[in-house]
Amino acid sequence: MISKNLFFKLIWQDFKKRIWCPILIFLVYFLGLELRLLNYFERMERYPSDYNYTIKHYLANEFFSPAQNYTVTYLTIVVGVVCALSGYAYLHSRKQLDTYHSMPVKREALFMSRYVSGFLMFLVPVIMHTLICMLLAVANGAISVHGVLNAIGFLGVQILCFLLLYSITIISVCLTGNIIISVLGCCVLASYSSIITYVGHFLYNKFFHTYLGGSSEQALAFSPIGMILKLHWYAEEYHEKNSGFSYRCILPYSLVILLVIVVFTLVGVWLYKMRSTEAAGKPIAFSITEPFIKAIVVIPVSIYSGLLIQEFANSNSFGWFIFGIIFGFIVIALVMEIIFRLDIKCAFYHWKQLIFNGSCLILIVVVFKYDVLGYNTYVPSEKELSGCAVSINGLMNISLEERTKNYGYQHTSALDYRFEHMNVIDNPSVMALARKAATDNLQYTQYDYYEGIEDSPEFQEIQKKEKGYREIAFQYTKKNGKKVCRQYVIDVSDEETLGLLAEVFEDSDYKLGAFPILTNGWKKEYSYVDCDSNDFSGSVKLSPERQAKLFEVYQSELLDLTLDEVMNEIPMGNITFQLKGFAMNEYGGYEEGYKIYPSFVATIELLKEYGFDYTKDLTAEQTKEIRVSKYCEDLIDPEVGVETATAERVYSTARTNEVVMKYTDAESKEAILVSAINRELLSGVSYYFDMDESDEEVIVYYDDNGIDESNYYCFSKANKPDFIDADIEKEIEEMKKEMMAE
Amino acid sequence: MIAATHICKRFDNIEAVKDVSVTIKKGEVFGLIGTNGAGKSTFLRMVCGVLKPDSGEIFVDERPIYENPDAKRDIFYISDDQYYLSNATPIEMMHFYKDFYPSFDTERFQNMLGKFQLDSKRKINTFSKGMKKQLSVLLGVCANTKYLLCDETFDGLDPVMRQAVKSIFAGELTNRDFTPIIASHNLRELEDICDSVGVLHQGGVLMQKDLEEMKLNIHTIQCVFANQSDEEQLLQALDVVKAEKRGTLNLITVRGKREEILAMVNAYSPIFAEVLPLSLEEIFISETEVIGYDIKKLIF
Repeated sequence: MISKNLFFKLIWQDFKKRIWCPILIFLVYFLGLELRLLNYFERMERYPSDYNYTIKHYLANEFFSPAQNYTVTYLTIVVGVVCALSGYAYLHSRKQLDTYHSMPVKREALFMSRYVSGFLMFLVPVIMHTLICMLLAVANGAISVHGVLNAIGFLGVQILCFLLLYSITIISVCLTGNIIISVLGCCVLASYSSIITYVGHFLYNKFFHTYLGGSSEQALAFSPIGMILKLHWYAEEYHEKNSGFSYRCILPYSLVILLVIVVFTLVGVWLYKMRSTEAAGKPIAFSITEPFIKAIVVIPVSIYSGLLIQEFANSNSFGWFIFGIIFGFIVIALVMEIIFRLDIKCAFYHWKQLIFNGSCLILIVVVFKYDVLGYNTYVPSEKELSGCAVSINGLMNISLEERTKNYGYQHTSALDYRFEHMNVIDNPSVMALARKAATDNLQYTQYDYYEGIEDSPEFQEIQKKEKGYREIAFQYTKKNGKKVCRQYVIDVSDEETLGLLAEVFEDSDYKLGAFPILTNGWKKEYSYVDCDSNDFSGSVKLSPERQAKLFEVYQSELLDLTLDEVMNEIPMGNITFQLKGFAMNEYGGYEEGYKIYPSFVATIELLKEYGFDYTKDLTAEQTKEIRVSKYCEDLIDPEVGVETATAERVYSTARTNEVVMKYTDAESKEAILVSAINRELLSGVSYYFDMDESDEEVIVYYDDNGIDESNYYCFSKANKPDFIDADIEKEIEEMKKEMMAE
Repeated sequence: MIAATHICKRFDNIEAVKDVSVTIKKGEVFGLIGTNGAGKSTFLRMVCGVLKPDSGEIFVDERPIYENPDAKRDIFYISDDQYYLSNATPIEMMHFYKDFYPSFDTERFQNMLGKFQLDSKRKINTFSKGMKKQLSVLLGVCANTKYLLCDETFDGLDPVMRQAVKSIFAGELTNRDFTPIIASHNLRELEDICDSVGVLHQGGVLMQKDLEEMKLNIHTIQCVFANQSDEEQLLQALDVVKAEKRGTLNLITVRGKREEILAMVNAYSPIFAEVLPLSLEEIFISETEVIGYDIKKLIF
């Protein structure tokens, strides 16, 4: 056993040897802590109106919070790497190793003394700076019990971040025999799982059209840098939802990190013990790991190179991808070989390894390209499932935004909301639709865009074939708790598919999971609703009684809404529910995307009673003027070659290739107003309602109680007034004549 | 006693030490001779516990050396390129070693620094190669360990310093339990100090012998005979290691005691006969030639 005396002597020796290290750390944290704190204090004193919180709140919840103070964590990461590299760099020097390993001291003791001294080099300056910050806070009246507790928590987080990077860098140093390779190894070890997950994500995205994307949390698992980011994100999440910050929210994850640190440290000790002295100066300390290291670096980097070169080529061509892989493979494989041999002449030294890695790459490409494992066609059996959520993309996607307690907003997408709240496992049509979608295995054609592609017969053929294509996402929850997501392409022009889709959409469980107002609505308080009809917009204030009544009728009618109605009827308007904020009359977010269909008679009646009439239309008398414009490519001047033909009759300042007709007579206005459709009505359902829109744009100028207003509309081809085409045709002819005359 | 039995060490594809068995007795000066790359440094690094042998065992006073601080406390290793802490002075290095070797004699070290005219407060990185070597020897001697492993320590020392170091070693040998093991590729440097030597070549031990015993048992005779038949009969009667003829002068290297050899030569009535002393170098040349090695190619 090493005596305590010698252990402390070894620490002291290391301190003397690396005295530059604590000095540098002291300076770095001075810039990161005191200087920043003083800067904030000064700003808060000079511009108090810029800050809506107190100085005490700032110190406790912003400065000493990992949710807000990323800068110090970044510094700590760098400090961790520097301490480990400088402390264990002697492992790369034969001279130093000969001396240290000939001494009467065990290797574990040498390791631990270095470990402790490196840690103290970080810890002592950081504690000193934190204390100085506290003193500065006392001097500025910014101290509070909460602030002191958070300062201690802040120290704890910095210690965790330091030890995580410190221990992983030590592992890297023990695995290698050269400082440059140690740094490279540290970068790889610190972020490898994230890199692999992202490369995997790119591959899945490229080859599997049913891939729905992975969560960033997955990407961060096991990677030290990722774990640190995750720790801060947890803190941020808590911070957004609460007015203050407490370190309790990250305590469980901190314990996980602590456990990882212990594991990393034990691995470090083991590697240190196993590492032979003669490894100093060699690129890799354990030659047995060489083929493994090469494979885990060369394969993902080659794939990433393929994806990158395809991106640079701006092409969907598989050829570019393959070229990129081959190029990347040759470069990285040779570079790795040169690094391992430290000799450029040895680039092809391990040709067998080259062949092995190349074969692995070919295997991966084949598996992905030809979906050998059946990723796109996978549907779990009912026996395996404990739940299922569906999101029919583009069909009344509800946008949800809620104010958080910390002055921010939380936006939830329709997909996220549905996957979190829906369970439609009891409806057999759901799995039938999933199986049909998987079996049909449809996908949108990938093509490279070029000018004029719209006119090519191939493109038109694709458009025709894919006219009925829609996307639908499934989240299968298996009995073991694993969630599997897929996004299929379905063809709604297929009657069987459409029938199954209707059965899913009309399922009350689907709607309860798809529309927040049907489930969470009761728990929330809304201050008013924004109403938009074809011609008018307005707001209706809600009291709790009014809200309850409105919900009762709207929920019932929304539950009765059929897919057929959505696909064939134009909504009468939109309704947006505005949430009440934390303080009275304060904005608290919204739920947007709800529709009012003609069948929602009770809702329309009730809202009319509350003050907004969805049946009220704009009259010809209220309308001052209507302009109908159409883009016309024929009006490009052949000599100048640019847009010169004009609707000068309306626009005197610009010459465009747009024909604009102005209508002021009552009869024409009447006819146009009856047919004009406000595009906003179809937002959120246009994917399923095929309006077959004509090319014209309609602007209606009207007088709204003495205020000049204008609305934008369009026509459906079926409902367009007859005179519009004739008028525009005539106008074009005249303009062409004028052009010829000029 | 240091006992190494059947030790092997391989670096990637290079077999640095192969099946070496050496016994170094307490209190003797052991010389390890061999060309560059013969495995001397590797052997010493294994003996002091820096390297772990791939196979075989090394015991220092019956204790395994590798990862055994107890055994290592008795060994001080001076490498061919000794490490000094950056910007350190001799005094700082003294404190450094004192932490590891509690019996380090600091007073003696400071005295010896003065005798060797090494400035105790001067930074070692400003020292010449020879001064660094001197310092390493002083540190090694003052560490007061039983065994001192010197890897080519005498190379780079001027003749005066070499003698000074040798006399320090002699003093240590007289005054305390001290066993220096000196590796060198220069036989002449070891001749007057070593008690026994081991010759390493291409990782293996060619031989290990007591130097005095060798010197007493091998001689070269310079003689001239009147007739050829006497000459031939003598060669058959002697235990000849090597025989050479330059004109009428016979140069015969023979095993045996000086007096016995001389008596046998005189029995054949030579015109002239003289027994010449053999240098360590010559002894090794002769001995290794016998076992099939052309040592001139190995060592020089």
